[in-house]
Amino acid sequence: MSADGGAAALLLLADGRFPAGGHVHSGGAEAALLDGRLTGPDSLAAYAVGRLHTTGLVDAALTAAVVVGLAADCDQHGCGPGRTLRLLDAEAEARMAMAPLRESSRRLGRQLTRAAAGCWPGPTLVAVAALHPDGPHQSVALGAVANAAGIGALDAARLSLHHTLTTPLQAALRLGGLDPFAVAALAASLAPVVDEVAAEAAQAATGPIDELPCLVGPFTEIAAVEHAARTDRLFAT
Amino acid sequence: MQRTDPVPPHDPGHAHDHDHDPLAAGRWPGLSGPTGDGGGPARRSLRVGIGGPVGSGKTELVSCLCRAFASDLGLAVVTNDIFTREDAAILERKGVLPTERIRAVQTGCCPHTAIRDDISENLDTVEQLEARFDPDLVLVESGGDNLTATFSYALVDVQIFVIDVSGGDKVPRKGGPGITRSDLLVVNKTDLAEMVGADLGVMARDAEAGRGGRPTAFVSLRLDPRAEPVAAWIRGLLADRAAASLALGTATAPAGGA
Repeated sequence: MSADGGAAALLLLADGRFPAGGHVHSGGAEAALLDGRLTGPDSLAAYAVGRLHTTGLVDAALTAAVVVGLAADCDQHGCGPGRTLRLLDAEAEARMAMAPLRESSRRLGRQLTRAAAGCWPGPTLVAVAALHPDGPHQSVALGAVANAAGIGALDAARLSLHHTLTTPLQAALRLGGLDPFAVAALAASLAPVVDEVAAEAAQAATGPIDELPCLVGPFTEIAAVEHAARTDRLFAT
Repeated sequence: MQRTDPVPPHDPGHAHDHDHDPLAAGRWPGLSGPTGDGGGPARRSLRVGIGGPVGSGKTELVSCLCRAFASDLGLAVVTNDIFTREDAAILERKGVLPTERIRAVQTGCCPHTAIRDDISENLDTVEQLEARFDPDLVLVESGGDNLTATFSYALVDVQIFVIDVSGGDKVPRKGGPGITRSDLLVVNKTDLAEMVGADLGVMARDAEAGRGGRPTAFVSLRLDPRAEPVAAWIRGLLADRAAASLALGTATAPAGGA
């Protein structure tokens, strides 16, 4: 699947130990636990599937589109990475209605950029770091990092969805006292969904960027805003 | 070691040379210096990590240090504890630091990880405070943790580990990286020693034996609201830092000398 290599880099970026700030985020799981939408393994599975098909698809398609766009910039247009990154960052911005989500997306984007800059140094990561004063959106940063690490669009989409899946699962495990083996089995059972949505995202990434997927989960967005205002939260999102 | 005169400001635009860093003494042998700001913008602030078990007095120490330095140093604080807003609220309520200079960071139930394995969120927050306020000193307070908690030197320049006598006088003997590797070990609540049957002499002896010559300060923050020995240690580091910058010709000479 990784025709252009980058498989080992993909593993590094998929590893929860890669120091890009993700461990303080719950992907909305803390908010869902607090307001009773998440009560145990069954609702966690449903929550994860819902996220994969909504914001998971949106983020993965943006990430894959960055990889596709950067390759085209280089091969066809002969220009630097700035144009693709700017356009897709604006598309990402337009897909996040809630201010706290935009803010944490840029925060995660700049943290990922920092962690990756020393791993795959080069003009792409310099350009993405300079994209916005608050940092690039996370999906755009991930696409730029994937490109710099030699990871193709489909694998980049899969990487994005892997984090969409594992972030709330890991947080629910910590917060809810769940069985870690059961959570691992749940993640494995959803691997086909990750593959399916990744293919959809990679397909969308080859089309016009203003037709990239635009889906939200209204409850999770409302909950994210309420969560950001809580004083007793343990996760940033 | 202690300065009584205000530490003069020096040029914030200079680059640090970590090979000459006077603060490198406490690091794990064989490891190079901090990398957190390597290649990044030069900074002048001293970053001090404060770790230790729950209830040992970390927030109280931060509060005391804010009080001690309020009149002459620019300060900023990052708190990592659960219910971080509460710690921030304590500092605000005591009026020791303006609200906007205190930031709370979530650690996703893993206070260890946030100061050591993946410092992204803390480093990001420290840098934002530095960019906005250009402080002389940034205090990063870890969430309460166990004796193995240590900071990455990419996040802080030096680290203080706070324990208290009510945990028992055998704590320094137990060791653990927080006890043995911290740059300053603070033993708090010495006023309780008699009541809890803790022998301060034993604690001092064990701390000295396990810490390879690094200092230990015995305090009662309840009775010493400016944490004088700790404040003096930090002032010494700031003076060393200023002197090293001068010696390297990287700082503008402050009026009156360093």
